[in-house]
Amino acid sequence: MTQKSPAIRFGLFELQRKSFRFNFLPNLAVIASIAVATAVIVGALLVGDSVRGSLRYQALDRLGKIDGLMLTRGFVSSDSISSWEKTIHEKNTQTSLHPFLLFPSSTIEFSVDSAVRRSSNIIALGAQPEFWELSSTSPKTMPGPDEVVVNDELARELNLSIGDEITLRIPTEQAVPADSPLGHREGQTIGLPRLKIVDIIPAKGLGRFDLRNNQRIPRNAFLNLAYLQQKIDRANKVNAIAVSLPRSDNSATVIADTQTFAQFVADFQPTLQDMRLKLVEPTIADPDGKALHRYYSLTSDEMILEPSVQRLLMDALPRGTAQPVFTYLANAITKNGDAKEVTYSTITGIDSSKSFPLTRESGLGDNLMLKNDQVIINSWLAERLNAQAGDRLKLWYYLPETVHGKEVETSFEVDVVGVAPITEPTSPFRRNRPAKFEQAPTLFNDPALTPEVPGITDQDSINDWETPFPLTRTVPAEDDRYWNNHRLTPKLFMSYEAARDRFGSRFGQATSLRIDSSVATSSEELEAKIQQILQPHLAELSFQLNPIKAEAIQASSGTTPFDGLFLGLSMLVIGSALMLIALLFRLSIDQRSEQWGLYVATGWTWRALRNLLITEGLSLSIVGALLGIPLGILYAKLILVGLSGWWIGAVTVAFLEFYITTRSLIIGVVAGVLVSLLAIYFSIRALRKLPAIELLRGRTELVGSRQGTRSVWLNRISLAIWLSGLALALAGLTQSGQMQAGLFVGGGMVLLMGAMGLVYCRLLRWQQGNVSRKAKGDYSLLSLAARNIGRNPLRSTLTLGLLAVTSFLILSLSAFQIRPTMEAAGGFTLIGESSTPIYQNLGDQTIRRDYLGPAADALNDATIFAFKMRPGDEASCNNLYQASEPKIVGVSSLFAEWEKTAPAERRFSFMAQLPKTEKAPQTVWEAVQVRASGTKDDPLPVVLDLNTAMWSLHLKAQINEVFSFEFHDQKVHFKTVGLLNNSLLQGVLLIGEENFQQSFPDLSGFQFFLASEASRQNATTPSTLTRQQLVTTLEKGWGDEGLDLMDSEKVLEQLLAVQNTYLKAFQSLGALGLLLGTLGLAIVQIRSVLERRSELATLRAIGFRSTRIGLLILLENCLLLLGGIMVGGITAVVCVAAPLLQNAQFTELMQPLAWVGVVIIVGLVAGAFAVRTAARQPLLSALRQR
Amino acid sequence: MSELVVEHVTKRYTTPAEDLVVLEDASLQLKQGENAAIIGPSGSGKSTLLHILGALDSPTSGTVKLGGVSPFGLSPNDLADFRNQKIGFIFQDHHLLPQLTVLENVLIPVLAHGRPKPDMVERARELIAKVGLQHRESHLPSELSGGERGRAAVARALIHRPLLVLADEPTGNLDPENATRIGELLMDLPRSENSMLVVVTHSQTLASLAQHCFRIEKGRLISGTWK
Repeated sequence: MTQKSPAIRFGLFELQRKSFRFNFLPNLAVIASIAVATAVIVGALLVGDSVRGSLRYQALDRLGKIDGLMLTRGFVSSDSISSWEKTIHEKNTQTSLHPFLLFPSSTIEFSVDSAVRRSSNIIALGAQPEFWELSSTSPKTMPGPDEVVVNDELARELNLSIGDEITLRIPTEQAVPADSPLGHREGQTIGLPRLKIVDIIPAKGLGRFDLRNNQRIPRNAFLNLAYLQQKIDRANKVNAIAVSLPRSDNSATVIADTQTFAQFVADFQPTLQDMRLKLVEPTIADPDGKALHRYYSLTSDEMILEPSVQRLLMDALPRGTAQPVFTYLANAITKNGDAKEVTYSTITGIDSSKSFPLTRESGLGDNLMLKNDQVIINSWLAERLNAQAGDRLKLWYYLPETVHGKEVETSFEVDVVGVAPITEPTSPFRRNRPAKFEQAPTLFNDPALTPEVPGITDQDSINDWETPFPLTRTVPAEDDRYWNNHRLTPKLFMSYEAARDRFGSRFGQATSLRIDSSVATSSEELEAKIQQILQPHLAELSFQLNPIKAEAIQASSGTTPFDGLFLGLSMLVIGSALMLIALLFRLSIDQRSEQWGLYVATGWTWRALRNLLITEGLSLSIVGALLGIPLGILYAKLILVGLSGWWIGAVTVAFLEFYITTRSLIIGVVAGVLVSLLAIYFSIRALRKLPAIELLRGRTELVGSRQGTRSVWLNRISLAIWLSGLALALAGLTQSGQMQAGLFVGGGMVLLMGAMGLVYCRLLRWQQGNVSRKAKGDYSLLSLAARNIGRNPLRSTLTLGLLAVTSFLILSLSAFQIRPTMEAAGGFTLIGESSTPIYQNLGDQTIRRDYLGPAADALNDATIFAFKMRPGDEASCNNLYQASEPKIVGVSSLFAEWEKTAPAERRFSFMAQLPKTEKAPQTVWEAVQVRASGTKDDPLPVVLDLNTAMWSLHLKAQINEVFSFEFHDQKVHFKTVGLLNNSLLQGVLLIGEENFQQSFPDLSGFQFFLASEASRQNATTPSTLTRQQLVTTLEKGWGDEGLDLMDSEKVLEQLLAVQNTYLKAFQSLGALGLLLGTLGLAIVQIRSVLERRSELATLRAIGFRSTRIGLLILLENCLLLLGGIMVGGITAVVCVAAPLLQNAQFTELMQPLAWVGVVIIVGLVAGAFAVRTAARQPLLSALRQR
Repeated sequence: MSELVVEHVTKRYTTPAEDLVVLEDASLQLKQGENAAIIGPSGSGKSTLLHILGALDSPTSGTVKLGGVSPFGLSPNDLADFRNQKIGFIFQDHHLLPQLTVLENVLIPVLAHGRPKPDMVERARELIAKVGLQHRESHLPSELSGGERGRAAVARALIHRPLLVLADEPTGNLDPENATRIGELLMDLPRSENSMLVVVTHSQTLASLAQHCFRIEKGRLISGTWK
């Protein structure tokens, strides 16, 4: 009877566990390399976390507890806001409203010793002390009258201290659009001099309040609200309302979306005045005061009614009770063939209707529709011109929009079809009193048909008009008398349609709305009715409450996926670590080859054996990956240190803090395990092909006839690959830009693959003893070393390849550092922006002369272009936030013309553009001028910089690509017609000026500038004007508007710094990879020495000195180290020879060369360790082993 | 009855220099329970023949059948199973896994199909006892003498009651005393398990213990001696 055997625990797990313990040291090396690979992945992901976390923190911090923000076009009274808050409180007691004044485009001047330091694009904010309750920081001293608090960023820029006095220039509200002839084009700022700085607050919390999403710290100035209101003559009014939602704690992370805020807006009841509307009830009365004609007139402070207001009211009011009126200024009216001119007359487009029986009262019959070229003139004009029905008149007028900043006069002819009677007053108008009549005035004695324009309609004489354009015509006494007697009473009537077609513009289609008196019994009643009609459409009228915090958080997800980016940049380290894993795991396998042979011999299937090895690899990977977490944290912190110093060019300013998420750790560890397993799988794959007897003999590579035949083929294939790589690199010569870089690097990698194949074949031949005749006779130590590295061809090729690839990338990328070029700047030496629009076209020498006087003469040679601009998020690589409303620039046809004639090296160069056809416009800048509506079907042609398209806007960067952006409530579609190549114009969307005006009608003037001290045509002739002179003259002339010109080269350098920094980072991290590869080489060398210790002992036994054996090992080390670097270096030279031939600049070559130098030194030191290991092996025990 | 039939087996290697004939037209036959020794000088093709018999290598021509099955037509997985169940190997260097105990080493072939069942553990212990290593069951190979390692290898080869046990110079590294003990064990134990044994050796002493003795010279199996 057999005794029952005690149970034992023995299965695959126990086998693995015991194997792990038994092979602890080799496993430790594998674990260390897996930890490194995982650390790099985890680190890169944590960099992504840190960038996003820091951007999010910034976004939350700069808004404090502000969740929503309403920026109004005009000024809203505090009373309206109070009643709004009251309504909100009735529903929700926690939500608070904080009205304040905000001028995000102000300028500050600080005079020191007669020199003026100026800082533009300052955010000036007038708020009550309660505003700071929304912030984590607040001033110690609140500003009072004539006092200001600034943030430390502004103080640093202008070197300000508490007690200093500064001048603040804030943009004033525009009554009439500046791009219309009656709009003012100068003096659009209010200066607040001698503001005393009472506190300098840190740029934290609302101390860094900013509307734009940018990691750059804003420069802010804070003023007393009442003081600022008084200074801008807007008592009790604000233009910004911050909304703070209820929160349970002090956190700033309450997020609400547009819909939530839309509900709040539903409770807002702005007055007509808040909406910049004015309702009057003009009454034409007889001398006894009895009303003859009564109606309501709705006008706008902007002189032209907003189209949405006109549409909404026309739709909502009873049919026929509201009619649009368009009154315009005719510079002169003449009768055809007559020299007599009636100057500066108001003319009105209005249709004959029941309430305004124009045709009937003119004796033409009831409500006839006038044709487009038919007019009715009033009796005064008929008499003055001696005109009557049937006569033809000529009218001169300014186009409703200025052309390139200048008003353009034009004329048209009309036929007189009737005469409307007016009554002459007995007493003319006085400043505060209307004209008096003895005889009853007529329907046409109505100055209210013209909206009031301050500076014009309130003057006693035409000669006193404060027009933005010169009154070039002499005003005859009769015309001035008419002005005295009738003021703005129109002299001529035409159909509304005719007037709209001629005088309508992007600013609007009517100057007033004439509403029948039957609609309401009083103006108060009508006002309430209008408010009721417009209230649901407040968003259209720019009363939109933006979820500013939600938007900021959305934008903080960033444009550049830094995790992906740094994964890419760390590619070489990861690659090196993976090769190291494969190498070390392979070494570990090689050492145990007899075990695998035994498994196979005893009936283990390949699958079972593979699973055993994979399980072992998995265990090592998990342990390594977990150890990689702390290393990854360290790596991320190191990169953040880099991004705050050496690589600051990539993020513009140092703002990054370390953030960590579990998600990244999990992803990093899982990725680390997977890639390590992959490397391990590749390292064990070759085992499958090995017969058990070879494994039992301790061999892990096939040697023999089959291998020999294969090596012949491999040699041929490798040669073919090498030649294809060469062809690719040569093809790069015919390309440019990124395609060229791609072909060079891609070609280089293929060249390296081929070279590695050739090296492997050569080593295989050495391994098989098939050496060349020459080598057969060479019995030097070097030959022995060469044969030794051929003993394990795969291992040696992997080691050599690792060094070759890394050194190739490190060296070759130096050739792709980008330097600013004349082409990239389009030949412009200066680029600039102004805080507020400049309404004069700086590009026009006549205008400059008008504005600057004789100082403008120095600028005669200068080339200056002014562009319209819609301020927005900078969409360049310098802004890490997502651009939700990118900056738009309107390019004029003048610029397009100019670019056409400029020499090629002074033109902006394009990476891609629309193909030129007979029908299509000739140049990209002309293609951009093609009119479009901005809808999906008719997108606006746009020019973008390639980097802006790819990295900031995440487009495919293709020609004809259609994309859209939402600008407040307006969705605008764009179609790419040109992609600029690394240009100065990064970060903006360039569209045609006319499309710009149509899409953003409320924006007037110019805010973006390109300039050069040299004339384009005479670029080769040295200009007497210096760049500094140009900058000084322009910045002095338009200092109030905060014109700030910067050196193009510096701006370009800053823009290109991002890419160049990434290249540098890639090189530095690549060097780290190379170092890792060198360490791998050292490990391989030491292991190789240990493996061969009996053999080396034999050499010692037969009389080799230790130094000679050391030299042999060192030679083996050098052959691999220098061989790898040489193969990589030669490949790099082959590839970058092309850009060098094409005059690409080889900058920063010293650093990568230094890295390679360091690597060689480290490699040699590692080799020395291997020598030391060999020397320390005891001779006898090693011999016994043999 | 299971038997080993080897007919006209030739093994040829192609090298860049010439074609190398390692084994030429070798034939032999063994019946269940029989044993044979193959002797010959180094490089004569002994090990090659052994590897072909163990299905670790395939012949260039000729046939090998074990229990009526030619292993060279089998799929890789079936071939692995064939080796696992039908063949037991004893190597000159024993190839014991250094990290495992004697018992675990003996169970290695069983592990090819998963965790060993208690009956297999029992069988392993029996074999260890039969080779006289019951007191060394939990010892690592590094704690065994050369002879003990050899005996452990014998036990491992017999774990699945193979049809054929192949031994490659099993006493090559042993002193005469241990060589004799291993030799006797080799000749007796497989026979008691009803397995056939083919042993390749330089040792005339060991060869003399076998029922059949073949000599290989320059790849030719030139004589077979029946004892």
